[in-house]
Amino acid sequence: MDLLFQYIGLGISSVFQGPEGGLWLLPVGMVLIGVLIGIIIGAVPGMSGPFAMAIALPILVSIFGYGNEALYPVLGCLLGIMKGATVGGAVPAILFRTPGTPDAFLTTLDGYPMAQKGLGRKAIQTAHFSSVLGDNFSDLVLFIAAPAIALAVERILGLPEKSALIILSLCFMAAVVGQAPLKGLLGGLLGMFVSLIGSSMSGNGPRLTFGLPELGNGLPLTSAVLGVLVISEVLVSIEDMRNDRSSQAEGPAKRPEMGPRLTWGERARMLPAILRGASIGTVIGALPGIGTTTAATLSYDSARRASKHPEEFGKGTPEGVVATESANSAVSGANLIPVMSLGIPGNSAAVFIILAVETIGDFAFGPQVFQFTPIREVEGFDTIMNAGLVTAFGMFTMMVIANVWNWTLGGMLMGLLGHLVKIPKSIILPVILTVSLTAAYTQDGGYLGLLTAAIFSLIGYGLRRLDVSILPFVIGFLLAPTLEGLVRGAFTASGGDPFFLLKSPIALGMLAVSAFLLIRMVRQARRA
Amino acid sequence: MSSRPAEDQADIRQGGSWNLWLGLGTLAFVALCLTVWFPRDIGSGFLQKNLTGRTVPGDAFFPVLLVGLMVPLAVLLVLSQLRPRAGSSGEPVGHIGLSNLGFLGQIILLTGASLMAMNWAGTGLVALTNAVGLTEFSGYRAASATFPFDVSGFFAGGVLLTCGFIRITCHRLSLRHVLVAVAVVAVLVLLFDGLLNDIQLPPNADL
Amino acid sequence: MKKTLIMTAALTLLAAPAFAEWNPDGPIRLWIGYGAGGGTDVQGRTLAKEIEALRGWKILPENKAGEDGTVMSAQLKGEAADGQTLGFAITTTYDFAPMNSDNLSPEDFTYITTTAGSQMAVLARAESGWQSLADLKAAADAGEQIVWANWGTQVEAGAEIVARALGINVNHLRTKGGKGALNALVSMDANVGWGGGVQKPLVEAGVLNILASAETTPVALAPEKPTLKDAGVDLNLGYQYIITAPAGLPDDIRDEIAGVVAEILNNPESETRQFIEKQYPPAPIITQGEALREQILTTYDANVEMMKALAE
Repeated sequence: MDLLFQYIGLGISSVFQGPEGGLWLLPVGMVLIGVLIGIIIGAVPGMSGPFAMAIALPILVSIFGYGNEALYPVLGCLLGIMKGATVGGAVPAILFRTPGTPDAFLTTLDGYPMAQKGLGRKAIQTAHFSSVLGDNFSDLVLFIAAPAIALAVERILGLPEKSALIILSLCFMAAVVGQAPLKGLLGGLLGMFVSLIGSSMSGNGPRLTFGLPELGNGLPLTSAVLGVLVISEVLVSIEDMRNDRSSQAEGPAKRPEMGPRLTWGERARMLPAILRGASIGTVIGALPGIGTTTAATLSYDSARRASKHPEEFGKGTPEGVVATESANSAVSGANLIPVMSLGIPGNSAAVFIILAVETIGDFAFGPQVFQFTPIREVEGFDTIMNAGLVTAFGMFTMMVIANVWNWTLGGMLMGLLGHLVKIPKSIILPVILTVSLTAAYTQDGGYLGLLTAAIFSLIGYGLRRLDVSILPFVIGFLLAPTLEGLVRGAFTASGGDPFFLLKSPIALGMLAVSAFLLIRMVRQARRA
Repeated sequence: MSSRPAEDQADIRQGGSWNLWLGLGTLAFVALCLTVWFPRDIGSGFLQKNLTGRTVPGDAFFPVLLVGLMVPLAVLLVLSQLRPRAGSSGEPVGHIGLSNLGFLGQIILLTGASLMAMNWAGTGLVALTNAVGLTEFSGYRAASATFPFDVSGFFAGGVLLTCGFIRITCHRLSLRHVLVAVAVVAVLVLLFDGLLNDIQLPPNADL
Repeated sequence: MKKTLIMTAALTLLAAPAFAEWNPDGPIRLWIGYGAGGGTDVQGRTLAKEIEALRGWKILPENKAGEDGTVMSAQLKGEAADGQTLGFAITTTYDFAPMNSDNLSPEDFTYITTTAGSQMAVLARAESGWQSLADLKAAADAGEQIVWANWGTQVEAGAEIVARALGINVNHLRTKGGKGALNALVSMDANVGWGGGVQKPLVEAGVLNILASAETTPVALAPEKPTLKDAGVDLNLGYQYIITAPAGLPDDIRDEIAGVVAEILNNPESETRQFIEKQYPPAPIITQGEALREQILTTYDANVEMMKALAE
């Protein structure tokens, strides 16, 4: 227990203490900047948190570099964006019925009618209150669950089990994301396959490079993910605009009367509903692949069923806003549970957190992070301890800081966001494209990075147009090197047994569940 | 993230054949990998002996496992398409038509042209200033760390790229749009070339 | 530019004949064969900064990481040999790695200068009580499981050679970089390991013992410990940090660049030298020109022999 507090203390102080030991406010400042960007980006229709994170990551790395001391400022900014965006999306949803982020879509159902009734301020404050509270709730769960799961996993799971776990989560993801699980899983395998280009395991030189020496260190990760996840989405939107010859977006609708404030009594009465929404969001968020929209839908439905006035849903009841906002915000914290305990990302925002960690410094996610190594000091060398654990607690600290900014600044800023002129999507998308391609060039090895981003955006475009979900592809791409290491290790350790993955009951169980999911997918495909 | 409108029957059938093509395409890709690509482009085999004489997985181990797993999935995809149950049409799938390919062709041309501009505008500028006697560089490479030559290519290409895409989304290009593009590229130049050290804008990292 | 160049050249010829004859035509690109943020990267960038300050040459460092500098070298060999594209890696990149590569050969490069050298040594935890390779053998013979921490193919082969010479069985553990090997030792995942130089504080603090030097001479930290050769194992795993260019670089350019680097490394005030003294003690190692080329080619042949012997 002592050791736990020692590590927590080190983690908190590591955020405020610079590399030279003095007071260091850079991470706190970057969290603030991130939250501001996140709230504003969240409020711009057509932009979402992962978008901003994707573009910010290479630029931040340009500014802060790759060293260990760059991790906190970069990660702080990304975490801030992630959290800020969950808050900002509600404002245009309520005032203009255009959700700023996709997961705020359900907020329009009740938020917009409220604003029309002259209760705009109340609706926005309700959204802010339930959103931030839901987010805090899921953070708390994360702080407790991630170390607990990691410790259990590290104790129980060996190499074959860990391999099976990754396979299971990919199958699960393919099964739950999108309508076409078979193709989703094929996409996942393809994602894994392309990540092998240029890598090597046994010192025989890089493989699958078509003889190009530039590919010798593998495809640039950030550019590839930027292309497949973000630029492809931009391309799809650009094409839709190209084909849509009807008149362009009319200016922002007239801002309705804002009306009275939300009272503390009203806030207190919301608490049980927020807790329900946040619990749903947290559970959904902890499972890989199920997004914020699902969480919001489930929460909205259950709130309507539990309500004494179900007929008021959709006509402007605060209960509806509470249900959707508490749930979709709770997803963001819980999403980091599989990331921090297992190294498996469950949604796009988590993907960029993992990318940042992989790009910068020595820290890496996974169960080894939460090993409580006794702290021992060796003069002149280093203190021998689990530096990853300190970083993990530092990350938690920055999340708490982001929450504080969200509570204070978020509330103020949300009131002002209605004043922001609506930026036309038709201009913002081309700008995003130029900025992303430039960032890919400067940060990821010149034309290699730029062309990787471009080619992966075409892959992403194809997947999107064929209604194949992108997430399994991205996650497969990110996890393949880990999985290859685990599978090879397990195979070697079993003495070259071809059934090496089926020797342990736990691995067998997980693979059986994967097989069950697969069979279900096939049946679903044939019934569709 | 985007929701698709309900499709009519014809669309589903047309989309459905994509399942077939994707499945067959995957099988062809796997065959190509196993027969041509892997043997030529992977240094060690499926299994190999390490220094201590133990048999360990080679570099081809995992790639072969991966493409091997693709086979049953692709076969299932094809089967679910060829022998659907009554009243079904296989896994839902979108489709890519001629109009999409036209769009892709357009943006590939646009991006290609912009990259050409990035690559050659600097060279052109150096030739021009040399011709009028302002400079005496031996070529762009020699000028690639001197302002404004070092950012000229990026500026030209970046503005062209942004304007081109705005033209696609807005169906027209006004002066305001060009100014936005110029401003965005100028900010990027200021950030990457002005404020940060040792960051190379295109094409300077590939000379 | 050219005119002024000729003018300055003419002027300096009259004034001071020893002054630089070669000046680059535009910026020099220094390709660092390792990722950004590591020790090699820091050394390369510091050196670039100091050359820029000393000569006014514009130097642009770029990271091209992968496979111990071979990914960078494969690209370097195709560049123009005009002294304006240079590589920064370690000698292992040229005198060992080409063996496993279809497109690299030690003849593909001009070797300009080394900057610093390793302090390769066999390490063990002090708690184990082992002081020499003989102690290690005794422990292994007594039934203790020996796990050896390595960070690459070459050092793993080296560990196997030592194990065979001692007649013991060793399990090899691959770690991430030299620091990873030390961490494996300290956290008891391994009980023997290689150290390239980063072990200094841990040895000084008495946490780790040096059993033998894997250089041609004893290491600075433990001058009393024998080299592997003294102990009857014909093995030299020492490596140096090296600046290279594509093959065919004219000698005058090669010597000019080598001269600038030597001038910086010999200056006790220089930041690069101070970094080297701390990180790769005791002092910079400056081998240049023909002597360096000779060293690379001979070591390459020796390494080929070593791997051949091992495979049998």
